[in-house]
Parts: sequence; structure tokens; C-alpha cells
Amino acid sequence: MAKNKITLQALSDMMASNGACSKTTSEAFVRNFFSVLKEALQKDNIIKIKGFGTFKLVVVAARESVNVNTGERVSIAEYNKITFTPDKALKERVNKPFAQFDTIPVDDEDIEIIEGTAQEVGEEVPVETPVEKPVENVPVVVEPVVAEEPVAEAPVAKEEEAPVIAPLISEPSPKVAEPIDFEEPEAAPAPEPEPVVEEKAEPVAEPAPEPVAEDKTEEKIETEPEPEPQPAVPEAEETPKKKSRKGCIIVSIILGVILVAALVAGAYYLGSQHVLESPAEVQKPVVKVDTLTKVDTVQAPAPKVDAVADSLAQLREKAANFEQVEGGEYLIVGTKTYRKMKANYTLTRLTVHVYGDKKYLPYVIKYNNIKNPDMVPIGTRLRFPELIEK
Amino acid sequence: MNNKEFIAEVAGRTSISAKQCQDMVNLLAETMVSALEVDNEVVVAGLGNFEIKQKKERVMINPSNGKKMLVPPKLVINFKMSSTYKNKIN
Repeated sequence: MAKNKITLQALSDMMASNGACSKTTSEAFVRNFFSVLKEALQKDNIIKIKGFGTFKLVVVAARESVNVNTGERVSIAEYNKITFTPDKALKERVNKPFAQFDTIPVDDEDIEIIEGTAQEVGEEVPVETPVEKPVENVPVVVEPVVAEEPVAEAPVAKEEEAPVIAPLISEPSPKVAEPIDFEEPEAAPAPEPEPVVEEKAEPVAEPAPEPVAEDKTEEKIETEPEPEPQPAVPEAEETPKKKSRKGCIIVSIILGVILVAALVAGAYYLGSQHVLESPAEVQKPVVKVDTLTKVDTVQAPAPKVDAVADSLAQLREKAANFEQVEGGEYLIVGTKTYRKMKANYTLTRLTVHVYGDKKYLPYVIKYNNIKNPDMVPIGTRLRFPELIEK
Repeated sequence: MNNKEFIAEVAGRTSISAKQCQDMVNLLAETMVSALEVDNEVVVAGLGNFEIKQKKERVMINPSNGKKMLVPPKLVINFKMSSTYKNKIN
């Protein structure tokens, strides 16, 4: 879109043409406005202007990226950026053409329309009634669930409970659940089912207008509670207790697992203090202490240097010996340490182990001349460079 | 720097009162928007440029209740630094 560029001069002319102020004043004002803005940003890093917005100076952290031409890893250095967040009044003024719209909740079917998935005309019909559809689904879904549990709540005669529970019998739920289900409804209205059951015991022989399957289950249940009417109640009483006991067991199992995990972690930590150079997962991140046991004589520069003034200058000279990462903030000046690639490890993870931050990854890749950083074979010996700031 | 200091500084340099200065700030904002509305860019030399961009509508999930919401399209004002300023502050 070709846009016309409006200059400060044009702005001040527009302001003056309104008649609010003279041309000279508006010109001076506009110029001063922006120069004070620039100075304030340098001084304070943040400036809030009522009726306009907030200008803030933010620091963007360094991040790794890829050189689009070569595919090589590149590091984008840290830099400063000015951000502008408009004032509420300004935001609303800008959005005036779209002001009437508002954020609304939306259903899943509508999202397909919005995201532009192709739909045939015929299919749109069910989509057009999105409000009704999920509502219909919900009661259907809830019903069988409702049927199972609140059977206990319904203080209705068992005849009504049985037909509802009958369809569940065909479900693949374990048959063990059923007697408990039946026992639970017996538990809730505790005194009621007993007389009901006893009443039923007699009319069992009567030709009941119920399906045969239900008869059998009813008989089964009736024969169960009949010889043991009393155990039914204490059993039912036990089930709520059992449930709370189950909860306790689960909690104690979880605690046990946590304990074991803590012990194992402690063991590793102790073990790590003895191990020096092994490529185990045990290494502490950012190993400052030099753990080199196999220093390559070719790699002459002393890897133990921390930022000491003299040696820094020397190091900078040595940096010329190594290929550096373009755009990077750090210089490679030698080898810091070695690692071997282990199974199920990534280069990034090793970098974090050695330096404590994965932003140094491009340097590692460059130093080892790795062609494909995603595919480093297990057992590859990797050299991690010593880095100093540019 | 807060608003009061900024207004005071600009008013001092332009030899106008603080109140007048604040009114002019509002006028400036209004003028800018009316200029930007007609498909323009406001360029501030040595700082950057202001532009109005349109954002498409999108589906977002309300984190508190997990409901899917439809955010309508909107127009926003954007500021982009100029390369000269970028080099200056880095």
C-alpha cells in the first residue's frame, strides 16, 4: 500500500489551520515536542504523555537465529528499542470505525466458519443451530451418568430404578459394580429398602410385566439382601469408609514416591562430587572449576582465565585464530571443556550444562564445525569454547 | 519523566502556558489521527514513523474461565523506530 508520508511541517500546518493557534506557535510546539521526547528517552528511558501515550526504551535480549542464505546459526546481539503504547483516548479515537464490535463468546462450530474451513451448503444447516446442538448433547451425555449415581438419591420404588439400571447391565462395566450400586441405593434411604425388599420377596412369583433380565437381577439382589439384611447395612456403611480409606492410600503412595525420588536425587548429588570428567547427566550446570583431564596440547591458550585485564587483551589477540560467529557478542578464544554426546541428549542440553544458558549454542556449533546440529551422533567428542565479551 | 515535567519543558521552550501546552498535545494527537486515517504515515525525522494498522479478528481463550472468545478486528496505531535512531541508541 503506497502511503503518503506526512512530515512534522505538514502536521503543524494542519494544527494551525484549525485556528487553535498561530502557525509559528504550532511549528515551534511540534518541533519542541519531539526533541524533548528524544532527550527524555535518553535521560529517563520512559516518558508518559497524557492524551498521547507512553514511550519506553526496552532492552531486547540476545537470541540465536539462522542466516537465511547459508543456514548457519547466527547470534543476534542485544539491542535497545523504543516502544510506543497509545493512550486510551488515542486508541479509541483510532479504532472509531470498528468501535461497535465487541468481544463475544463463541462456540466450537462457529470457529470453523471463522477459520475458513471449506463447508458444503448441506453441512451448514446443522452448523447454523449451534446453540441448540450442544445443549441437546449435554443432557444426553449426562443422562446415563445421572442414571448411574443419583439412583441412590431417588427415593422411588425399586421398580423404577430397575429399568434405568437395566441398560447399564449390558455396558462393559464390571459386574462387581452392580451389586455395590444396588447396595448404595439401599444405604442412602437406609430403613426404606429393607421393608420394600421384604415386600418384594413375596410378589416375586407374580407375573411381573418386566423383562426377564430385570427379574433375574432383581431376584439376585433380593436373595442377596434377604439372607443378609443386616450385613447389607453395615456393608453399605463400609463403602463410604472404604472410599475415604482409598483416598488416604493414594495420598500415602504419592508421598512415598516423592520420598524415593528425593533419596535418589540426593544419591546422585553425592555421587557427582566424586566424578570429574565422566559424561554423565550428573554434572552441575556452569562448571566453573576446570575439570579438564585431557588438555589438548595443540590448544595452547590457558582455559582457566577469568576476566583479568591483561589476559583479556591477550585473549582478544588469540581470538583471531578461531572462526567467530557472525553478529555474536562473544569471541571464541579457546577450549573451555569437553563433553561426549550421550544417548537422548541434545546439543542444547549440553550447552546449558556447560554454560548455564542455551544462547551460547551458535558458538558451540561453530567451534565444532557441526553441519547438522540436530543430528549429532552418540559418542561424538564435543569441544566447548571459552568465550569472552567483544 | 512524567507528564507534568514533559509539559513544563515543552511549554518553557515554546513560550506558552502549561495548560495551553497540554491542549496542544491533545490537538496534536487528534491531528495526527485524522492525518493517519486517510492511509498515511506520520514521519518524525530522526525518531521514527507512526502508522495505523488493521488487526484481523481472532479466536482467543479467556484464561480465567477457559471459554473461547472472538476478538473483533480493530485498528491500532503503531510506532516504528527509524534506522538512524536505532543506531543512535545502540
